[in-house]
Amino acid sequence: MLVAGSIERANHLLPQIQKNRIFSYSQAISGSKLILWGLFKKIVIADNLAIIADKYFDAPHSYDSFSLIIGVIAFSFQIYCDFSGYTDIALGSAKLLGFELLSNFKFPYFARDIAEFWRRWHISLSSWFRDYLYIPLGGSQKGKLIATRNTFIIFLVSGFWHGASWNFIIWGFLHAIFFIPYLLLSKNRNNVNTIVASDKNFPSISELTKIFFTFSLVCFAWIFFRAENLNDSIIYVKQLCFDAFNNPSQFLRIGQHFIYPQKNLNILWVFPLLFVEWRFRFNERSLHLSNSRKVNILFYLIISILILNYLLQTLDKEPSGFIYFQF
Amino acid sequence: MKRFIKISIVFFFCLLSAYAILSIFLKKEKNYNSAFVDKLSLLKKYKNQKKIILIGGSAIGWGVSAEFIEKQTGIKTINLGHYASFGFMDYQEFIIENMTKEDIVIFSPEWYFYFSPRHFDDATLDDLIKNNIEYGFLINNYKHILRSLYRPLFIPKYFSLNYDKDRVYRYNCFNNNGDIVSHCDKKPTGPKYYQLPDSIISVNQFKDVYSFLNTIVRLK
Repeated sequence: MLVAGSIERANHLLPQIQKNRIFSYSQAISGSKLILWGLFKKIVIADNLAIIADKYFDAPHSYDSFSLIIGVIAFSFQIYCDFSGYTDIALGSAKLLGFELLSNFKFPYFARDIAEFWRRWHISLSSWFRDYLYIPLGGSQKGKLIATRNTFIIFLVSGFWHGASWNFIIWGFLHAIFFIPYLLLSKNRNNVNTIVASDKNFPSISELTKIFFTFSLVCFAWIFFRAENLNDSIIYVKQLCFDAFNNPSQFLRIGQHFIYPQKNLNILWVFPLLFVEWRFRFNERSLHLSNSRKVNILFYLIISILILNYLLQTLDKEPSGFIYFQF
Repeated sequence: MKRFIKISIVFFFCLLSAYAILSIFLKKEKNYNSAFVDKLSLLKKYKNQKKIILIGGSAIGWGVSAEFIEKQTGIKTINLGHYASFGFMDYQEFIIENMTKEDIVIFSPEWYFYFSPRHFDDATLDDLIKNNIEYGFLINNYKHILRSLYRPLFIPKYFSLNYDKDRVYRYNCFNNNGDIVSHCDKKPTGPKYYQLPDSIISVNQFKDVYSFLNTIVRLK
């Protein structure tokens, strides 16, 4: 049973249960790759980034602006790796048994606008809200005013779905605010069915700027999602903004934030993650790092070594759960 | 299905082998616990010779001079006192194998061994076993060797906050007899000699801190 997603549709899953399934070698290999990559994202990346995020979100008033930026970036990648890692493990396990589940993540942090982000983040929930809430309310067919109202409703309901707390409501409200300009300017479907730099190795400066801008908005909203309560999230935002103005020289001493505490170096895991996901970005189900078979084997061997290593490190500790199990 | 199982077995074999090889090369820097392996090696070195063996916890290691006893008696003296939390059960067979009938054992257990003679601390012994593969080889325990091959890798040292930087509880802390001497104001004589930092307190300086020692001096 999948307690956190993907949220399956009966018309997609039931026919597969009724059908006879035959073991397929290529399916099993592709499922195993998904499981390994999911485990890597959860155990190696998410759990290490959690150490940083927990520290800064537990006492935001005690840290400077730059540290709080590290904290929110750490949480952004922690929640992505935690949840998409879980989904990959579920998808891979299902593949081993001959089932194809719906995709739930398609590299959301490479999104060029907030509308694209929502087509790539928790897709099964977003599409459920679209089909069972947004469209029945009239969708975008009854004019901009109704579409704006409906957008607010689905984002607020989406926030409320995560928990009965003002934090989640404000998180949903912020995403609605970020989304509405694209809707009003009819730019919300600019990047449908395309991936950034689809015919190139690197993104253009313009694409990179759009990705960075979208990521910054998403990060800002994550502050409200992660903080214990509304008061804590306001303290986090205030400290992040005011300390940056009061003490701008901290941004010239970035290196100091990594000397002590050393655990901040865990944020460096983001770079290999982005590199690998950039290589994977054309297909979230077929995880080929390179065209060379040897490179792919070596890649999966290395991530397996890292998974084993972190498992051995945490043998005597309480196992960490998945964030989305609480929702 | 068979092909998939075969590939999976080969992959796991490669994974376990690669991990074992890496764990040999990516060694954690030796720490205070590692020095105990060298002490046991001393015992093995003088296996066939008449000797006095001091066995106990760190109170023996820090507080009794095997070097002094050896000078006074002319009998090779080895100080095995190091860390009470190791207990004695894990390596007592090794001690027996490296003794002669003429040996003299001076046993001074820490207080809690009087009500729990088989005591040892899991985490402390685990640190000794996992981070010192030599220990497993020395006492001929293949399970320990296996455990040290499958320990967390020591990838970059800045990822470990437990990096051994203690000035007193360190690897290079004892003399040729196994006495821990990193707290003494006299210079150690063995090959493990290191320069004591100036700021460290010497035994003679205690009287400046503890006035009851001055009282004793006055009484004399």
